[in-house]
Amino acid sequence: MSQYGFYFDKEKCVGCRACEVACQVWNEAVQTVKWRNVTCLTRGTYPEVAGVNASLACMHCAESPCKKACPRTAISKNEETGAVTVDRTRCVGCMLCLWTCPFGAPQMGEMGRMEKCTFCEERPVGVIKRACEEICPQQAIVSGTIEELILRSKQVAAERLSWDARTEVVLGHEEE
Amino acid sequence: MDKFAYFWSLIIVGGTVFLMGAYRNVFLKLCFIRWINRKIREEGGAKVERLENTPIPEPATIVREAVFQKRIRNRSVFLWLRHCLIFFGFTAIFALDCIYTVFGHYFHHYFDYTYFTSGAGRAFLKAGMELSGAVLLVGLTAALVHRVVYAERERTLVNLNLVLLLWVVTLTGFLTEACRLIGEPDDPFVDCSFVAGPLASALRGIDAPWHALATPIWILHATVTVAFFAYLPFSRFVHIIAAPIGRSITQDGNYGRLKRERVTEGLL
Amino acid sequence: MSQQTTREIINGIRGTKTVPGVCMICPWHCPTENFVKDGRIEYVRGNEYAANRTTRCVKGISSIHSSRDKDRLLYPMKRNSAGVHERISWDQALTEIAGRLKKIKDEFGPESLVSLFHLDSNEMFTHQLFGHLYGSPNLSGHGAACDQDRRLAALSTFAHPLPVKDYANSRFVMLWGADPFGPNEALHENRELLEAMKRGCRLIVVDPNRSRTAEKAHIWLPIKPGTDGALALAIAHRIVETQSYDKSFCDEWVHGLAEFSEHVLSNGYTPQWAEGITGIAKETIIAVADEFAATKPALMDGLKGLVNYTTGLDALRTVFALNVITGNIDGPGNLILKEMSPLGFPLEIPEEEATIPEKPPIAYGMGYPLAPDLPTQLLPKAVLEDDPYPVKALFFHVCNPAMSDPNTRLFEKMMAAVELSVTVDIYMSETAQLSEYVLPEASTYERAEVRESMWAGPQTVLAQPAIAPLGESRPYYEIIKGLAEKMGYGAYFAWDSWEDWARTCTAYLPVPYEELKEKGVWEGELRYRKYNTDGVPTSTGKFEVYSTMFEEMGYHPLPVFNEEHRVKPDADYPFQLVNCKMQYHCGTHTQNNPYLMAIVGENYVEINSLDAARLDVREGDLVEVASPHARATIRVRTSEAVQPGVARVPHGHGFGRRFGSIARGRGTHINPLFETRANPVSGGISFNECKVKITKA
Repeated sequence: MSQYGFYFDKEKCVGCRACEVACQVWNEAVQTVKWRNVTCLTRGTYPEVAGVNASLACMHCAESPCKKACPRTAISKNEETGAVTVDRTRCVGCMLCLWTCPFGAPQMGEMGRMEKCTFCEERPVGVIKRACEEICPQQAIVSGTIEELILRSKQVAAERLSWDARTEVVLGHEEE
Repeated sequence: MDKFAYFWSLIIVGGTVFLMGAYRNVFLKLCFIRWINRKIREEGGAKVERLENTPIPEPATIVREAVFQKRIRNRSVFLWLRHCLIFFGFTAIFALDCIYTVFGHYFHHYFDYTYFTSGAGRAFLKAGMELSGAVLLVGLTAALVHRVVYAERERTLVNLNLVLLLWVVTLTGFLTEACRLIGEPDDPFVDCSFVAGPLASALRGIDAPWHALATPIWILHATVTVAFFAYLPFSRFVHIIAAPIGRSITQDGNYGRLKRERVTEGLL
Repeated sequence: MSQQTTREIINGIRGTKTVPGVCMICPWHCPTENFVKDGRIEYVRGNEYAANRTTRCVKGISSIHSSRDKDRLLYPMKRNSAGVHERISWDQALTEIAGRLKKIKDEFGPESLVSLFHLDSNEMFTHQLFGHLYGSPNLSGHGAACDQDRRLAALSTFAHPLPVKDYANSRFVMLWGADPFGPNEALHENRELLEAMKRGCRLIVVDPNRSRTAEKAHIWLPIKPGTDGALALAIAHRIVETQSYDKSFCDEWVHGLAEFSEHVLSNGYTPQWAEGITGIAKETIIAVADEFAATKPALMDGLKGLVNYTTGLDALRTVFALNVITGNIDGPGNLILKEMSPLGFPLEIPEEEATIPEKPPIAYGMGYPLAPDLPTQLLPKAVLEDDPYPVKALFFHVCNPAMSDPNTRLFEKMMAAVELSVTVDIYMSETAQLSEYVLPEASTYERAEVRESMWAGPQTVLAQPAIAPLGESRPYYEIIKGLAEKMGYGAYFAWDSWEDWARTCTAYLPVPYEELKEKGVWEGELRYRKYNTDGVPTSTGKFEVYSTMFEEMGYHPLPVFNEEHRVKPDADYPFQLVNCKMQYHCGTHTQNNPYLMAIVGENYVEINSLDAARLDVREGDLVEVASPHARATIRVRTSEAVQPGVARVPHGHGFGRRFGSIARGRGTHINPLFETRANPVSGGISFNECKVKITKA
């Protein structure tokens, strides 16, 4: 079994929420409430303002807390992709999963059942992008196996250093 | 064996199973949730106000969600009405039954009162139980019919067996009461049994040994009832315990938003 | 499996068919793919063969709703004597409009027809019918309310109206009053800029407010509103003073460097001088100027944050001049003078049969001879006072000046007075509600388009109808064909289906039509430094920092900093009203969209939390925003990203007085607050020249 997941680049995200709507449009038949949510925060006072945007959906954790917290064993992990899915016929909508989830991913659907990202279960993994990833204008969201994603983040960091022409850059101590 | 001795052994067995289920399916889960939330809080770094480890549920949310079932109301008035009939019927009959058992059958041996044995209290409890039982039966019958007839859209989301079990519990309850009334035609509170009374009259017309059947039916009712309670934490009805806790804490998705904000703040 | 394209995989999953399309929500017109099943659009995404790849912005992806929206215009309508729009047949509508147009041409001449449009590719038909055949010179886009100053500045400097950006190869990017990340302009450009930044490209943003782009910038210069021109001149001063411009490039390709240098130095446009005006420390100005001069390739560009002030034109001329004198033009990582693909007109009209307008465009008479687009805010004057000549017919195509132009009341007066007004749109827009005839257009999912896209190289998009038009709505080319037949020009419109004219348009493309149709997009070669082979089409044959075009027309040939027409906050009206775009909305067509309205349902006035505390208002309170001309009630948002003393309002909201079940009653129309102020040279509307006071409602 391999574990798939999302890579999210906060430096690229501009908070446009295209991923939210892409998720809604692609999963129209089964989605009644937004599975992916963008949170935009600003802190500080003018002009010293810092801001960050984060697009969050289910992270498909390896050791899923929600799976352990569910009183109805409605949550399971896909053997093949590691995607965490909810069986709506077993769910009773108690939302203990939301209380557990570190990312606030589970959502209360219209039928009183929990809904969340299914990792676009129709889309074959490794062959085609997830809907949010496909649409994201900045390509801030990337999906893949955890190994691929770790490699990717290392490559991005390495590439930035190799391109930086400034002489004052010391490896590992790059100025912010 | 005395039927009450059987009743109490049943309660002990059923109660044990219930507690085991509640421990496994609710209590352990809550412990785990508290543990993991504490861990996230300690290791997560960023803090968002009002995101406590165990948030205190807002009373308004409890009233709106648990008592008035706002979410179902938003879906459909029919479903909401049905759910309310079952919810209020079940809660009322359960509470009244407990009072009736305790005060009507046991406490009068130790305390001196007649209010619940032969006084107005007994009439009040009787009538209340009849009413709530009827409400519950109507709600459950509606649920059964709805699920059989309109199951198309919701087929994957319902469990017919469970509703059927509670329906049998309610029905046997009325049957038991009716059989008792056939055996005791002089019951001074017969007028309070406005459902079981007419049912008893109807049953008298059918030639059957009702008097002899009274005890077996009573035992059946008790067994089914206890079975229902024992099964509760293992079935969809676990939501009776879990949903008020989880839903009142997570408060309409606002809690999820706060959690996402905390994660985002951590990225700042 | 690996041979399958991602299109085919999605089609396999959903049982759909891919039809290439184009997004019509904003003027960047991204190439798209529509996935259709049984006459319903199931999914949309970007065209994977185009530069934007499979991506869409939030407005693009949610525009899928417009293919299903029951609130769209479904049949032609005519306003009756009681002022109510009634359903009429297509035949009646087209016959009546054609008859009236002919009568107007006979009585007042063809120039009394003014046709306004958005940047729709089907505008080729407008040009051919109303221009080449009918003979009106007054065909214009909505530029006056948009990038008029930038277009004129680019025309005067590069003789190219729309330079685009090659972020991918850039090492230094400076954006003035531009927020490409906010409303998601060109998707591929944004992606390339962020990727370039990962590789060490520096981003400097000049904006009073901390926009989405400023959020990502290495250096954000929180400038005082409307003073960008001073900052740009100060940077020019530093570069000229230190002689850090590209000497060899200037010798060969720049006209007027000596005059420019002399002008900048002698007028004392020093960083010290700019510090007092802009509020940016002179050390910062010098550091930015030095970094810009030292880093290559670099680019500087500006947009609405500048053109919304009367000082914007000269600010942009200075910005473009800075690009030119440092040799940062049309090379990799610079502003690119986009090459167009060789598209033809859809109709073949022999030259001798085409009508040549006798009178010049109306902008000439209005006193704006250099205006690239018609200054629409002066149309009421033409209609109501016959100045400079009578305008009798107004034809609007997918544009909504009733909402986008300032001084809404004057516009309403004009619409009541004009002899014939026709609006073609997909929604009952505000302009449509004021028009006599309203014709329903098919949405972008239901019609064909052949157009140039906004990629840096030549790029052609061929969009195809994916589903049948909703109700009685018709594609624009069918409407124009019907109208032309009634007007007696039917012979030129002898095509049966869109494919006939699409073949005519694309005949000169170096790609077979079938391949273009399959992919939906064709991209040519992106050529750099085209001036080496093609020259510069200005009158001097060089890039002009000293504009001969301006000199000829009697304007100042060099950019100055002139605050004469500025409207600044004062004691009575202490806030500068700054117009912005909302990230999640764009014009009329997103207002009835449930996806977007769920994200943000109405506009708001954003003020700094210090100002909010002073005014004793809190987030979500209703406030009254009043300019000397009008007042509006709107909800307040407090934000740390807005400069104190600035009130920022997203414009283009407050539709739905009668239109749309979702849009109805949401948002506040802010334009009545603006006085009709325009740049004296370009005629571009200066929306931000507006002072307001805010009181708790």
